[in-house]
Amino acid sequence: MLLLSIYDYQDNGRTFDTVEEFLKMLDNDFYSATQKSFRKYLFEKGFNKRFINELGQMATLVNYDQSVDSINAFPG
Amino acid sequence: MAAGSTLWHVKGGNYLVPKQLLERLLKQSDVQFVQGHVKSVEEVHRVDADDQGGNVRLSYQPTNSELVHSVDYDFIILAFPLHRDNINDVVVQSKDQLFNQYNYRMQSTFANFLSGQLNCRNYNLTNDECERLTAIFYTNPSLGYRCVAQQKPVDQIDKKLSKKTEQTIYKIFSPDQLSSTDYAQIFNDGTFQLTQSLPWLAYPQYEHPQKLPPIQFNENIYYVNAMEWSASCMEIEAISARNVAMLLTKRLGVQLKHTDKHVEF
Repeated sequence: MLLLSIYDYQDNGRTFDTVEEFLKMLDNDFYSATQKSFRKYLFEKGFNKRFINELGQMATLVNYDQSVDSINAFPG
Repeated sequence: MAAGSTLWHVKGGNYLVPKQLLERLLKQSDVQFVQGHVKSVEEVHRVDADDQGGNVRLSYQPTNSELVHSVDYDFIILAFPLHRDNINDVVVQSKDQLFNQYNYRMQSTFANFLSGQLNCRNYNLTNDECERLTAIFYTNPSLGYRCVAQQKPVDQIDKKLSKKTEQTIYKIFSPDQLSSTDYAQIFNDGTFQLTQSLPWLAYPQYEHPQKLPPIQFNENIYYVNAMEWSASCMEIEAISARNVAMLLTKRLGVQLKHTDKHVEF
């Protein structure tokens, strides 16, 4: 699970002052993921159009009722 | 990326989690619990340095009361989402000019519950395949509905599915209210019946680049739900709540006792 390392940080008393700091603490890629669409993010990672339109789209529509074009890549 | 037809659930209702947490808290400490609607949270500027009053003022209307009460506290932790749709109900006044409540919106979604038989002919399914069909995910965003999922009692441990009948309940998520015409595309004619249709502000409306609200409005006002604008789930809320509790204990110079046990799932 992507969030697992936060529990080690928190067990050791580490806090964060902003949401941005939280995201960067977990992974350098996470904050930049919030800055672009999920479609763009998947495309840059090398996923093809069909994968994005079917699996990516399904995941964001089901979980957040939002499309791969409107949602940013972190919730995706 | 993950998708499934079941959501996190608690027998009797998810609201039992905060309810029982509160009951335990009331038993274990001398906290005071007041039920009401929060109207505003604002900084208090004290002219007299010797003034021992609190730094933040909470104004709220207790349930069953017409009067708005104002009380000063040392710290206030907000644990509900602030967005455009509740901008007139809750006013937060602080130095942080970076936060504009108007910029944050929630996505409204309908959860529709129906009994009926799925129209399997749409997908050319055999009777056996139709029997095993428990969820449908739609990938076309211009459709009026997002997914259909068979509902089962939360305590049904038996993995083998009981045979489907016309009484089988399905949940359909949709961005807008659905009509019988919409339902007729999903279910066999004359088999479906609407049980409940609930609109709710389920999660934030995300964008890119994403605006992120502050976790602290000022030295004395904390905002747990800021983290929902990274991603919205139970786990994020729990991490955020713990973070705010730790920020506050650091600020107060209180040593935290580690009483929670690490559990592996």
